[in-house]
Amino acid sequence: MIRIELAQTEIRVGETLTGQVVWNAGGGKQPRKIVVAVHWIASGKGDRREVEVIQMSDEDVASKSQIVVPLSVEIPFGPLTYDGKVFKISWEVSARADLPFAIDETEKMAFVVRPAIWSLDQFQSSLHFDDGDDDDDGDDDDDFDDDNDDDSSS
Amino acid sequence: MSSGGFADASVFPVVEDEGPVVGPGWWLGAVSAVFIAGLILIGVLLLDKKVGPVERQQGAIVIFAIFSVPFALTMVQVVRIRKKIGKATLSLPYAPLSLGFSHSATYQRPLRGGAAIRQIDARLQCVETLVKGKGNTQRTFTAIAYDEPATNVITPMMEQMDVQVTFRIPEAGPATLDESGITIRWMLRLKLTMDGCPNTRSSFEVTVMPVVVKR
Repeated sequence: MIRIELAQTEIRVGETLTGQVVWNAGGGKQPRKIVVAVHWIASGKGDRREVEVIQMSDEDVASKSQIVVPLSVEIPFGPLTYDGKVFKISWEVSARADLPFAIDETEKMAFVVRPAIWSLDQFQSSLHFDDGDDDDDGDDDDDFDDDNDDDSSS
Repeated sequence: MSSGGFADASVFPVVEDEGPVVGPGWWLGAVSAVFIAGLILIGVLLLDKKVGPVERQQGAIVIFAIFSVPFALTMVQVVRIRKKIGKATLSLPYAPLSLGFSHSATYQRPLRGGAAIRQIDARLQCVETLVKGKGNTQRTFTAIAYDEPATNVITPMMEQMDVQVTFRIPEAGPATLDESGITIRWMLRLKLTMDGCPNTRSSFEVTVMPVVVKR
């Protein structure tokens, strides 16, 4: 029997999703390998497409009654979990025990991806990284703060 | 969309106008389709041997006159707009933008020949698109997932329109996305009511990253 244990069910982009995939023998066949993948799925209007973020496999599984595959994946700056009008986007971890001459054991577990929370400094430095222009730091900070002040007053 | 610094307006990220110049987005396509349909009808009529040559010519002229009117009127409007107002640009304070923040952008457009702006209706929209299938069976589904008015302040100027547009992108997102036939686009759409010139529209894509900025 295979199961997925996640340390978080909700995570922000840029953070690391941690957990493990555990397979117990339970008297059944020994798997050839355990395959773990993290992907996001867009579905809507009878259409479904999966985009794999990472796939890993543990092939060192010989004669073990329990196999534990640790999971540590940084969630990229991709889509957020979303429930729109035409499609929705969900994230999940999938695990598969590849059994010889038998139907593979599979398990899936969904998790929610939220936007990252950054400080002003982080945001500004990311913009500077984009434009490669570090000459106007002082002015940048001032203008950004002005914008925030406008926001709070409105 | 380019990115830039904050200090000088000349280096603010500038977004190009996606129009449409005249009417709603579907208008130019519709009048073009009517015009092409008229040309096809003329072709069918001219090849029809059951109709006499004089009747064929007269029929062709009538069809051309009827089917070309919307297209011709639209083209006249486009030329009038192009003569009176120049190309629009939207300057953003920075790019890409973050979620959950109030942003202020500057809409600028040259004015000529006494044209003046009377009113602007600005809206922020989030547009979802899903492309399903391939080739002849391909279908595109589009929906507006978010639609809110954006406040704007017009600064009166003689030879240029200068409008400050303030809009807020919700904290819950979504962020901009374009992958595997799925797109999420944030659009700032402006409907301009003009004096001395036909009314026109502008639309700009603003890129939004999956980040909420907290002070």
